Amino acid sequence: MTPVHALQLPEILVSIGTFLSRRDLARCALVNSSWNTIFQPLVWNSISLSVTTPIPIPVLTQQERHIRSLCFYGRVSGEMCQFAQTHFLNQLTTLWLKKMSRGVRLTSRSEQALDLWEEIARIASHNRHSLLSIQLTAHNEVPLEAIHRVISPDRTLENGASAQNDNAEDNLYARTNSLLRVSILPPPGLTNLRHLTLSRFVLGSVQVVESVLTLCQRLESLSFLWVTIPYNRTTFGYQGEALPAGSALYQLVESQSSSTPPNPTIPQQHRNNGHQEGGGGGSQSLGRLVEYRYLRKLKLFKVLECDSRALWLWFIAPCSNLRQLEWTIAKGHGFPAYAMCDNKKLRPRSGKAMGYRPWGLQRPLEEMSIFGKDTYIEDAHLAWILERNTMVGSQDRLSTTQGPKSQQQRLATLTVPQSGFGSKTMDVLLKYDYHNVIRTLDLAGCKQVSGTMVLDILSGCPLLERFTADRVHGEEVYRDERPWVCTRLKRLVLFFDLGAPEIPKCLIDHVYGGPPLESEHEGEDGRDLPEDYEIGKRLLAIRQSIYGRLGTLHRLEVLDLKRRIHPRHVSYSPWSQGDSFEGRPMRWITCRMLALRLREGLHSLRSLTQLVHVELSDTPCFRMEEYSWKQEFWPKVQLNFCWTNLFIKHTIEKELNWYVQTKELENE
Amino acid sequence: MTITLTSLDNVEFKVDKDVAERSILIKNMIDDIGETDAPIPLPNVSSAVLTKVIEYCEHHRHDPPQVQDESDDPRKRSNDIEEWDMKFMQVDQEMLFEIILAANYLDIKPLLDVGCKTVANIIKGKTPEEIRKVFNIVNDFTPEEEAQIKKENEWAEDR
Repeated sequence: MTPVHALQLPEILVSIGTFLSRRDLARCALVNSSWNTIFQPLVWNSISLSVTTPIPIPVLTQQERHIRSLCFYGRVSGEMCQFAQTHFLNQLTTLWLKKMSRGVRLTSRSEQALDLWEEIARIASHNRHSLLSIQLTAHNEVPLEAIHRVISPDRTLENGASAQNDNAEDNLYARTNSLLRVSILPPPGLTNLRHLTLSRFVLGSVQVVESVLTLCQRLESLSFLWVTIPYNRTTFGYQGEALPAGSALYQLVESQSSSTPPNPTIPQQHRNNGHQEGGGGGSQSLGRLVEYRYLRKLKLFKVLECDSRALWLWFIAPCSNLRQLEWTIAKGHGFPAYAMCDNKKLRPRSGKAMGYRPWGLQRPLEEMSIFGKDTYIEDAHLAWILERNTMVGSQDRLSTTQGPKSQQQRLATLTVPQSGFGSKTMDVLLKYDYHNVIRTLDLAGCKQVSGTMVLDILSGCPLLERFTADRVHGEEVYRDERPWVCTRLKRLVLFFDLGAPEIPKCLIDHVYGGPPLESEHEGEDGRDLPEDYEIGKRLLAIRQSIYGRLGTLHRLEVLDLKRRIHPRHVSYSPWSQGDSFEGRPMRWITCRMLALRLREGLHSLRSLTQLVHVELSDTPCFRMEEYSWKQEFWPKVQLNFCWTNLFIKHTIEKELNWYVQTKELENE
Repeated sequence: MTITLTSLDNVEFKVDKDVAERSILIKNMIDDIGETDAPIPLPNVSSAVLTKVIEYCEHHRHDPPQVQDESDDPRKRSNDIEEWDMKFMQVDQEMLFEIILAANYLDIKPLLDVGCKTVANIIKGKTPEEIRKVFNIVNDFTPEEEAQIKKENEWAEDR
């Protein structure tokens, strides 16, 4: 039996091809005929058309059958558009439009723009059954019909007639059962589409989005980046903050929350008219039990002019199988955390949360990222969300009896910078075993995160890979005896605060092994030297213990020890209350952060062989011995000193050069 | 619980269940037949290669299961190899391809990826002639054919 060589297997060549650039792929296609059959399609698998990449049309025609992913970038010639319209038939899986325009810059109202979108719509329509992913980035404002034309090509080409039909249908089903509509609504859209990204769009109303979601039933990931959805009371179903009591909408929400069967006589104006642009009466959708069952990843990044409540209603609440949620909304719109809480205590007093539809999440979230200053979540809410997430998991486990599996699917990424992450959330993390699953934790700017919590996390989360927190005090690290179990940590962003009572700098030098300075110092301001000496010794021990701990994190790649707070900010210290320490005024010695000094225990970090990047603030305390140490143990590590002025930077480089030169001389 | 694997040359390897289950093939087998003490024959893998594969699986036994994310553009997949894996892959070419074959057969996706990345790194930046030389491949193109393909892919070459 002649053994098969790995390079004879096409699947292995294809797998290798995924790691190669186009240039390398093109060279591989020239190796021999069997490689050519594998690599030629990969070279042409995804192409980008714009005026800067002039691929001759004859060449395109020849290679047309290999093309699966098409990207229009910037200005595109009419010839190219024509080509794309006529040549691709159910073969494209990805369609990207980035800032596309034809020839000249187009304004939103221009007819040419519509023509262009018509063309795009045609391409989408021709590939309706194969398209899996669409990414649209608008150049200027895009008329809202445009998106419709792309997503539901057939519908818009026929225009008016079909819309009327739908309304009649809606009417019928609204009268019988509002639940049924989900299965009936979708007209021929891009039924296979899995991924949709809209960037820099202006959409007429949320209904446009809703209809997109209804048309693309199998959508798995949806991203909105810089999308403007004008918040308009008339297009929107409810008025102002509270639902008017007695309205049909109110009744609908009521009937749902009390789980009685929906009111069979829904007034006519509440039929779904998601396809009318900005028409009134879209409110009925609020009560609809739409469910985006397949949507797993939802990214809402800077959705403008739309309030959080609306976003909640239209996007998040209907997603029953969401796994990843990212929320970065423009100013003023906080994450509607209380909407997720059916716990009455946590709701705002005013009872305005009535309009919120509870989240019918059926499986636990795996990733939750909530960014931004304005999206502050309170501790209690965060705790509640996390607690509820575990309950979703446990219900799931009970019903399907897949205990160990659902454990793995639990929330592994929690990014909540500048939130109210605090003791309650921490309790939930520990109580519900989150510490055994969590991999990424970002708590930057969370003011309620104490040093003890940071240490709890470092010594309690074995799978942690990325961790960001503001600070921990050196003294706390020193006192805490638990080992750090997070040996998989790759990225640590944490400021070790070494603030301490003021002691003479010369004394620190003395403690570090400098010459004794007792005679110089005695009686200067009547200070008791032995006491200071003890403090100095303690400081040293603290630094050494921190370095010792850091030295155990062998997989560390990025270590960021920068000061997270401004130096002028009032600091805290477990040593003292207020501004004094044992009767003496507290001032902070200049170097409050860890310095890369061998005398302080830097040598413990020699075990961090994977380290690539180290960030520090303030002036580095580098001396010759540290230079040579770095050359020996961290030859590839990039040191970055923030807040260092150019002069100091220059001096460091000069000294380093000088050091290298002397070393060379010595060797000679 | 330990599992016994038998290689092509009838050498028996005893490994922990969680290590063996890094291989989807073996995992499915165990799921199908249930837990038995009977050795699992692997007639396509020699003992030398199996030793390497087990070494890899033991080192990565605690790794989280890979998440299949199809939305990622394959072109953006990183070529970075972890340091341990890099050292692990410092073997001669014959062994490298045997490991890839075994990973493919045993269905160990991360190992297959590391192997393919290593090969991709060898290919990177080389001319077709150099690639043929490295992998000992015979050129079966006529000069005309070669010129033709070169012309077609000219656009890909300069970017």
